[in-house]
Amino acid sequence: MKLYIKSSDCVSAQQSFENSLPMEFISDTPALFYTCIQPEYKKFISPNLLRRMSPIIRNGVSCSMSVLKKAALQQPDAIIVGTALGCLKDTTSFLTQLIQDNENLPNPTHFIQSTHNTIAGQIALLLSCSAYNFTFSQNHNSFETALLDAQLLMLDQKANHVLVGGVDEMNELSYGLIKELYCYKNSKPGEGAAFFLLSTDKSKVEFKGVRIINGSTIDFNLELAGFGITWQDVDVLIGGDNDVKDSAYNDFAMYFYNKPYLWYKPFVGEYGTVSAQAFWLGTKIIEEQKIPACWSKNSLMPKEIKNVLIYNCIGNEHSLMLLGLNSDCPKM
Amino acid sequence: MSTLNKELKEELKAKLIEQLNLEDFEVSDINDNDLLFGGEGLALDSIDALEIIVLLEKEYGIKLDDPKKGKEIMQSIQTLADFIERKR
Repeated sequence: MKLYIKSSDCVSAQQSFENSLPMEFISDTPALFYTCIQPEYKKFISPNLLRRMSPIIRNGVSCSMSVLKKAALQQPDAIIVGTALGCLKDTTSFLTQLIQDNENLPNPTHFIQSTHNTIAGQIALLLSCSAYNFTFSQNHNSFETALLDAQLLMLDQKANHVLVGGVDEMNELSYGLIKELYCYKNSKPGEGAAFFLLSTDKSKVEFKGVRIINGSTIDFNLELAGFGITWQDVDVLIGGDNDVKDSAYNDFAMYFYNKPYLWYKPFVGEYGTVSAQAFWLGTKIIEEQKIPACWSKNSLMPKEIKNVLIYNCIGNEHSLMLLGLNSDCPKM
Repeated sequence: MSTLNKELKEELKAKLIEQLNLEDFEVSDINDNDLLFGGEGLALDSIDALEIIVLLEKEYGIKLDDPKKGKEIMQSIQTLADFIERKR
């Protein structure tokens, strides 16, 4: 069975939401961390619900609603969300209040909204959708794990349309803690949301698979064989490089030497589910069959965009995701 | 109407807007007798009721001893202010 990406959307520090791929970036580099350009939330969420939602929920819900609207689908068969750190703003508000008020009378809303599965839950509540609803928090492979679960669910023929996404947020308190713990030493943290409707209905973009690897090294021959392809079949690479010389991606760049190479983290920041942004970038370049020059790291452009390989690596957490062009798709 | 009660009502409106994150409301938008819950007025819900109970205890040191009276006490800004004045 083949799986396709019927629709997608992305909230990020760039002009991505409800848009084509940005042709140029917002050039201002933030002092501390990248924050999202806020969608017009009230288009998707009633003011009465909106007032209680923190940015991560607002971004996740708005992005999901946009994806479903684009696919003209009322309800998915499953909602699967990946988030590495969950609702940080509500969690920090709740814990700060506990400390300040000596554990007396904490604000109930912050507590209720602080759990990781609030985003998937709020999407379900808004859609009155009681179908399969899962949230995965697996560090930097949270989105990939959500994607894998969606794939397995569909291959088991338990769902035809699955809403799957990756979402995380950042705030000043969490930023301080991250820096104290020496995380993201060579990168600027960020936040964002990217959602997709995976479907058994044909579309232009085929989701060919995801591979999650935990270990110090990765055997690209073996992993590509797992996808049923060789390096020659790959037309475009999307790497998670944080700067021009990011040693974590040396082996990947060497293995695929002289292939068109795109990057995105220097423009949206680093965070737990940032690979969902790469997945969106891959989806868009296949749909649009063009690559705006600003996304290219090595200035090489492909003759055609058939197979896009996405690689993410943080420490010992690696992932590969493969997207392909479905050349016999009906006109979109 | 006492000056104290009037000041208290204005203070309550401001605190509710801040605590319940009523982004679209200004103090002047809320009338003393507007219904706080239900389809009309501020259209608050049960989580807001919980927030108001916490606010009463935290800001005014007043515990709502009889939950059955909650609906009556939290009917409007006026009834809330009257309750606080009685308990002070």
